[in-house]
Formats: sequence, C-alpha cells, structure tokens
Amino acid sequence: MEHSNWEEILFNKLQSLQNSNSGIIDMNHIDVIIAQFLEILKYYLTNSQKEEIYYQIENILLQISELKKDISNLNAEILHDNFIPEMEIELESIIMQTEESVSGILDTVDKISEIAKKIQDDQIRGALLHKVTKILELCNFQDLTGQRIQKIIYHLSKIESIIFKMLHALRPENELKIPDHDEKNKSLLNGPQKKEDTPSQEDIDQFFK
Amino acid sequence: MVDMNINVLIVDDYKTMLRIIRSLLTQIGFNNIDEAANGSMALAKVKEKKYELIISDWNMEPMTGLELLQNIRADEKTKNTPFIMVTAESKTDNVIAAKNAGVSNYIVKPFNAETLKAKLVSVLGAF
Repeated sequence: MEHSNWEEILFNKLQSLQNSNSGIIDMNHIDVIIAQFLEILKYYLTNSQKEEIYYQIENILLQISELKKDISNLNAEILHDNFIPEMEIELESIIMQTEESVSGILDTVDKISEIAKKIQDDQIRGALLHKVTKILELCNFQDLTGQRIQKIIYHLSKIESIIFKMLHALRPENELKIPDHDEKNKSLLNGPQKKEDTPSQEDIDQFFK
Repeated sequence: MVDMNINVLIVDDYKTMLRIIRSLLTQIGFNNIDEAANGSMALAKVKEKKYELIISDWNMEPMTGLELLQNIRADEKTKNTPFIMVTAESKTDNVIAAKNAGVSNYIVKPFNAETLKAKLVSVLGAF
C-alpha cells in the first residue's frame, strides 16, 4: 500500500470531522478516528506490515511497563516522609527566626523609648522617638514575610497531594498514604498580594470618602 | 477631642504585629489597649467588656477579621463601635466586602504611623 494513501484517508477523516463541528476536532473523537483508521488499515496491510505494527505496539507496551517499573522503584515515601516535610520545617523556621529577631528588636525599641522619654531636651527627645517609630514601622516586614511563607507552605502541601495521587494511580497495588491537607487554612492564603495586582492605600481611601 | 483612656482592642494572629500596633498606639497616647489573637477570641472579649475602638487584621483562624466585623455589626450593643481593618488583604473586592460589612476604615500593611494616626482621626475625631 502507498504511504500517501494512508495519509489521505486520515486527512479526509479528520477534515470531515472538523467540518461537521465548526472547525474544531474534539479530543473525544480521536480514539474513534484511530479505531476506524485501524479498521481501514486491515484491508490494506500485508502480513509483514501487520507484524511490524504488532512489533511496534509491543514495544510501546514494553516502554509503558518499564516506566511503571521505574515509578514503583521511586521511593515515594522519601518524598512524603522527608523532602516536603523538611522544606516545610525550613520555611516554618524562617517564620520563627524572623519573629524572634523582630521580638528582640521590639524589646530594644521599648527600652530606647523609655530612655528617650526621660530626655529633657524636647528636640532631641522628639527626634529620637521619631526614629523609634520608624523602626516600629519597618518591623511590619515580619508579618508580611510570614504570610507569604504560609502561602508557599500551603501550595507545597497541595503539590505533595497531587504527586501522591499520580503515583497512586500508577501503582494502586501499593498502599500509598495520600496526604490529606484539609482546607482549614485556605483563608490564610489571601494576605499580601503582588504590588501590581492590588490597589494602593490611596486607592482604598477613595472608598471611604 | 478624643479621650485617650478609651478601651481599644487590637486583633492579630501575629504577635509582632500586635506589639507594633500597641507601641504605635501608646506613642500616640492611648492607655487602655487589650489584645486578641483571632476573631473568635476578640468576640469573647467584646462580650465581656465595652470597647470604643477595634483594630483588626483580616486573615486569621478560626474567625477572620471580616467575620468579626459582621458579628460586631450584628449585635445591637456593639453595632456602632468604630472598627478599623489593618490588613495585607488589599484586593478591591475585599475592600468592598469590608465596606459593605460596615468597616469604619481600612489600612493596608505595611503601614506607617502617620497613616494609622490619620485613620484614627477620621474614625474618632481629632486628638
């Protein structure tokens, strides 16, 4: 059989499907086309061609089987028991450490404020308290950093669940404990947004005029 | 003039943020400041004590700042209590939701002392 004939049959089949559906080929129709195409091929193929196709299909099956074997050899539990929890611990520790550091800064700021209040010179006292206020304002970062890291931890947990669902689908014979990340902390995900995505304080003030 | 002895309740799940707001309010001159770590703890405090100002974060569990606001506004005794939302949550839809729920003013984190003072003046009057 001429190769161009196969192409022509397939092309015509696809074109007629496309024409019948406003130029769109639905993915759900692809398997029907393939089944029909294989039916057509039966009439055209020589025995040696049939053998060649059989051999190639067998090769594909072998590849799939190898892939499944590779996946089952993957120690998914390491991912579950070590990597992702370790990443989560590292991220949690960033929150804790920045919180401790900021707490230390705030303790110092409180002490400076107490000393500043005792200064007789109004100008020096005012200037010092103004600087203390600036430090307090700058300590805002800890809250925002913490909220952003919480977002990362949440998404990391989601990725972990997805990987496990995929692995479970590929090797259901093994007992894989799919992590159950409930939705209770989802509301904590809102928090800080990217600057370009959000209105400024001035924009928000317009709502309250 | 605003009475600096009014009872103020600040609500945030981050201890450092509670400290920052408390320090800024103290510098302004407020003397009676209580703290709560989430909306439901705040609501319990509001039921026990009369507050003349509530400053709350939005993103908290188990009760968010918006839910706290809705509860405050739903209660006859607290429905007129000035309520300022101080939050990193600055999406327009959320600002509108807070406004519809009856928030008195809205501050986006990170904020400075000047912004906090300006919002306090707009809600409480000059001091």
